[in-house]
Amino acid sequence: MANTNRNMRNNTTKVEALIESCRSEGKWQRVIELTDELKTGSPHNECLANFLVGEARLENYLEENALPSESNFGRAKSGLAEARRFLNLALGESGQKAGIALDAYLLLAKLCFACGEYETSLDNFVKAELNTLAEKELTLRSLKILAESYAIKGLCLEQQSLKPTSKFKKAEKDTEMISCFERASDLGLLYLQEYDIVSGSNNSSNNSTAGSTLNVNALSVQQSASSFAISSTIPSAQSNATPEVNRRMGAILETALQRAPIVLIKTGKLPTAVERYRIMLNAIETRATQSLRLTLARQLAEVLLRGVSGTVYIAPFTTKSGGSTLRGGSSSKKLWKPRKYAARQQFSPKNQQEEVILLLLIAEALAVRDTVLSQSPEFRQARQFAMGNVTAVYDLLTLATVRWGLVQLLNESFEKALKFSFGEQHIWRQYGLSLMAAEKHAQALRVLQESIKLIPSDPLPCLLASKLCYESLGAVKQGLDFAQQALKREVKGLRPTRSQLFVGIGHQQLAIQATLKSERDACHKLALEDLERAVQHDGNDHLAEYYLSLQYALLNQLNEALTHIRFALALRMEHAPCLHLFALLLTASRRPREALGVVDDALYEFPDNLQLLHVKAHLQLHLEDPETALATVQHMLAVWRDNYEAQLTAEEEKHSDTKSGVHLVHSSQMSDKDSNSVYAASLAAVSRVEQALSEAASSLSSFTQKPGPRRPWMLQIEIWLLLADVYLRIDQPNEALNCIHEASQIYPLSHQIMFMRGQVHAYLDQWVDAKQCFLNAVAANPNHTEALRALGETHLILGEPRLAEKLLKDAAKLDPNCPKIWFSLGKILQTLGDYNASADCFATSLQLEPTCPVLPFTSIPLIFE
Amino acid sequence: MAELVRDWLADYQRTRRQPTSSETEAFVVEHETDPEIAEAIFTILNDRQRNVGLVHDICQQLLSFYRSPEQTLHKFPLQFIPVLIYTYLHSVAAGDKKSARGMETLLICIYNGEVSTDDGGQRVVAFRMPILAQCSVYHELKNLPMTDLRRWEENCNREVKWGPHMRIENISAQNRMRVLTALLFCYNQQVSQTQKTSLLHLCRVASQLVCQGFTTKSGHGHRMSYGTDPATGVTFPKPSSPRIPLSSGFLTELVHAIYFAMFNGYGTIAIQTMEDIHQRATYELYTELILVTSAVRNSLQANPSGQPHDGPMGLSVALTPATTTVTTSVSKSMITNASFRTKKLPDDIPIQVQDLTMPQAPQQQQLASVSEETEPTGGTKESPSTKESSGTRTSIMRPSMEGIKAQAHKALIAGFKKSKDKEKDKEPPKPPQRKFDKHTQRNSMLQLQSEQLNSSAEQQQPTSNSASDLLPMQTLSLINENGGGSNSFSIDSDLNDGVGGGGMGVGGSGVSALPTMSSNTNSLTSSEMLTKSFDSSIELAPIGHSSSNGNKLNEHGHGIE
Repeated sequence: MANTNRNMRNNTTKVEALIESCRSEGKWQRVIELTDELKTGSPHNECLANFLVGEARLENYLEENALPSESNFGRAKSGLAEARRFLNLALGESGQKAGIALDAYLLLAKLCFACGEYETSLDNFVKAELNTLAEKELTLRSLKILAESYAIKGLCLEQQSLKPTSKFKKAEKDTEMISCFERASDLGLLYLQEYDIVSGSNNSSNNSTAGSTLNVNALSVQQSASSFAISSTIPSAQSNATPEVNRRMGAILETALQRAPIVLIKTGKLPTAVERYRIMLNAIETRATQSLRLTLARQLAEVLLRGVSGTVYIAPFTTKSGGSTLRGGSSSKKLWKPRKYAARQQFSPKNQQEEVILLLLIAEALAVRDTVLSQSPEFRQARQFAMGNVTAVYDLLTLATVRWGLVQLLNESFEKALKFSFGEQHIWRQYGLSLMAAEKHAQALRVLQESIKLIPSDPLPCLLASKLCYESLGAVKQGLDFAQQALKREVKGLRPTRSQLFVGIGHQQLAIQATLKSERDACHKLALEDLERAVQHDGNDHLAEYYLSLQYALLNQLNEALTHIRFALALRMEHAPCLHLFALLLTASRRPREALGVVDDALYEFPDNLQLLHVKAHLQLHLEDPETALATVQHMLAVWRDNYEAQLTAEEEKHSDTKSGVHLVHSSQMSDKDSNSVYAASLAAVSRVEQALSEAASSLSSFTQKPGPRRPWMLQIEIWLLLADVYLRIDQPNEALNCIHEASQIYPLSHQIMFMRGQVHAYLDQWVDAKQCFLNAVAANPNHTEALRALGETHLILGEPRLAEKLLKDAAKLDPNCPKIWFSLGKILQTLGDYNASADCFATSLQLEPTCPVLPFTSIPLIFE
Repeated sequence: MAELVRDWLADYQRTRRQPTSSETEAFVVEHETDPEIAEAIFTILNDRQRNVGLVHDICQQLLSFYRSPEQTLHKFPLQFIPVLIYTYLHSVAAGDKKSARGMETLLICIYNGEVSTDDGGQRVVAFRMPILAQCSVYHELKNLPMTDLRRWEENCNREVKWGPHMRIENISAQNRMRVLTALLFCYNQQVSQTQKTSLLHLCRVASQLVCQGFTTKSGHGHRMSYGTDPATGVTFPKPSSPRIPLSSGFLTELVHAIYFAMFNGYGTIAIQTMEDIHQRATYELYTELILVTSAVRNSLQANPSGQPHDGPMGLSVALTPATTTVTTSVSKSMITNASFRTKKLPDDIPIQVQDLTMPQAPQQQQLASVSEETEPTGGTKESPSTKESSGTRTSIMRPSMEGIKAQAHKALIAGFKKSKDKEKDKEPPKPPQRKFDKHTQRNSMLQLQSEQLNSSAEQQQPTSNSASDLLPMQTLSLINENGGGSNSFSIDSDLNDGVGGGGMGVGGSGVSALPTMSSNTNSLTSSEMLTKSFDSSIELAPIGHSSSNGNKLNEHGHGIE
């Protein structure tokens, strides 16, 4: 081959130079024309001419027809007969003399391969002595022929029908095949790199080929628009860039490049395969390898995710040997190896995760670039292909990142993807989910709504939206709508889902929020029906039983409530909210000691559950044991510190370095804590007021310099206030005031703080101050019944019984099941001299008192697990 | 099977009594070469009701294996982690913790061993978050789009960690899932070293874990007696196989294990198991888990990633679609994502320069040409500066990006509420033209600039585009909510020094031109900002607002008091 070149160079005629350049650029038609000139010019060149014509015909045919497969070998044979004839002519003695026999054999092998004659093809390689070639510098065309030859040899060996007889022979054949593919991939990449250099220099001199933009498709678009703006991108020839680029590589080379590592994996050499991928990706990219690099990067990521677990991972390029079968002497490396990326301060992955994520980020950038935005039908195929590529990368990225809590990263990727994902269900749903996981609730809801539209049969996005509304957005009505939509979409008879339960929860919450009695009763009725149905549909669901029990408790049917909470506990023994409700139900049946026992047992399993500790403290207060209650509350503060302080400092760190979503705490640890939601948020209406206030406060007040999320701080306020309550019980109002002070340091606008301050004033008989505090509390939250009651009582003491009556009637309307309110109302009416009404009130109070829990049932936060 | 295991138990006991090490070695070698014993143990564990005593012995022996200095023995118990977890959780869910004591001890010991390093410290698996902004062995900066490079730039060398985990003494309901998740994580780290057959058991056990209590209805037959008096102490018979509570994190680890099995010889069963996990995920509404399971399911359906059956590890040759005659004609007018960018960047320079100085009407035209890349008018409108600054395309890109950033900052400071969102977000979901209409109504320079930025600074786009319509207070909370948006502030902070002063001057005057209430707050803020140094604008934004408005609320608060 090299001889050929030298010979040609020796008698450099203009024509030969032209032919050579046409060969390297693949202008075969022109080569045939020029060959005629050559023949007429010097007849002794006939052999060479034959070769050139044969080559040109072969390549021409392969370009016009895709690489033949088994079905059309026959057609290929006839189509290539002419080319075969010419090449055979070039093989003779004169061919040997002219030094083109080697090339002719190689091309013949290619031709045979195209016709499906694998054995003949291999014979031709033997004749060409492919194995014994020395590494030399080659012209572009020769480089390609050689690369393809190795590729073809590898493919032929793989296709060979003859099965090797012995194990040893098989191993030998495998080794040869692998070495062929490896060589093919090295040479192929080198060829493409050389090509870029050559065409690049052409560019600057005569503007002959397409310019240097990265994406080839883009070029065509530009031609019309900005043809004079940037000189280097002007394509003078009208030939479209895309096929031109692909012609450079060709199907044979592309197959060989991708085949090499796959063959290695097949023969069980996983580490070598990984190394092969790395070598190929480490080679400097060329214009033709863009899509190949995408495939390779994705495949390497797949291999690493699917076949390599953390402990067997070897970082790239740490061992020099690499296991390649071909690495010969040092001189060879330079000539027949592709050039590598070599920049200073390269990032080199040190472990599996780094490499996988790096590869996927690169693959994402490459895949996203090629996505098709045009929506017109003629591009559908191209669009779907590009979309498939990019979703494949996204799916892998999801797999690789979610485990590490890097949802934020994912989130951004999907956000970017929306541009080209019109109507793509999968992308939209994943985006919605990632937003939910990243706790961007409002935005998640919007996206889920879109997703609901895109997949009309899927109840899942509806349910997710419903949960989002209930749990995070406080939009019960909207949540109920979504839940009902989910219920409609549900296919009966398959696995159970929670749509029915979610409808029930929605109605229950509406009932709790409702202020009008008729509305409340109607919602309660619906909720009960829904929840009964939910339990019937899915008898093994502890959550349904729990909510049913809660529903009965709210309706004051304690026996049913107890039955169902026991069912719930039978289905799931260790469920903190169930145990919580169970304890409250016990207190409502006048069994506070048993309740305390339940709470203690529950705390053994959930030692850090602030909810349960809170109930415990209240129970202890209820049982007139404030000293132990004090100890409990102090323990609560310790628990708070242990659980949240680290989280808050982590948050703080996160905020000061740019928010990134990199979780410093493992996600499972987080979820433990998240079960302790703010128990102050008992009434949903209340919580909304509180939320609004605290939002205002967080932007307005100078106090809220506390870092991190609001929830832990709200919890701390609760604990301080509880502690203040306890101190009042043990007659230490000053300590109580200190606690209130601590709480107001965190956030001064809470109505509960105002209420508690009022309590302290009332304790100290400072009634005017107390009244002011209670007024503040009621102003901040008009639905706070305890404040209303306390304000009423204060009015009574200050000698304003009419005002007191008004307030207590309001309170009784809001919470008709509270005996204390009725008792106070009775007292007031007594003062007013309305003894009949007063007696009624006292009677109601007496009737309610035995079934009154120590804390309202609604103090258990909404749960979904 | 039982016999085999008994022999195995006895053998090891005998070996341990021998003082010589050769016996132990012989046992180790024999053990390593015998694939049947693991299979036998799996069988026993699956059928534990009939072999209660044996299960206990097995646990003890596995424990002593785990503690043994011999590496092969030490690794041996790890392959049983999934099945042990299932057996344990099953017992716990059935309320039979006592019978699971042995297993619990074994799990605790393995957990404590796995979360510690050899020298007794806490084990941490950490990795550096790779970013594209730093060139790597697999890519160079020049060949990727600028926006991709800038992504996560601030994450440079941030460490993502697993651990450290505290050692534990007992398992309670509170830490159970956490412990088991960590155990499964460790299993996943070593999964490719375990015997392939154990993957089959992994899949089976995983299916049982997630499906138990869902498939059969039998557990509910006795439940007709509603309303019986609970005080009489009616016993509540438990369903034969209760559902097993599982956390999202645990199941995510399980997905990884199953994914491995899927591509290592157990495609069919693993796909089925994955389906089971997905069902469970949708039942529990675990968002992160659904993300992962749908990703895996989708990749199995969609072509490029390949099926487990397609080849080794689902890999196959994916040729670029034949670019024959059909596509050549088509691709002429096809708009790809790339076609947007390559064209857009140079265009931005003149527009940005002009939009601070030029009157309104020409801008509108310019905007239109930006948004519709393919129209030839875009090309003709290019100002001379683009042509002069030719050279290679990449060399243009860089200064232009800088230019955009610098311009961006001027406008950004003026209308920074908007730009907060904008900087963060990428994709324009609606055409810029519409926005332009909106802000022409508003008729203010300030809005103009920021809107302009919207449409021209490429891909930087607000998602909450109603920000400007909100009342001051709402906008404030919006800013707080979008804390993520502040990322880009820090990136640009170096630019602030130079441009900040002038830009703010513009901003201030622009704001005061606005007659609305919001203008007040805005101008306040920007003057606040003038006085402060620009070291970190993230902190600054909320502070500026809160201190200017906070007074008002404080008064208000006092009023209440």
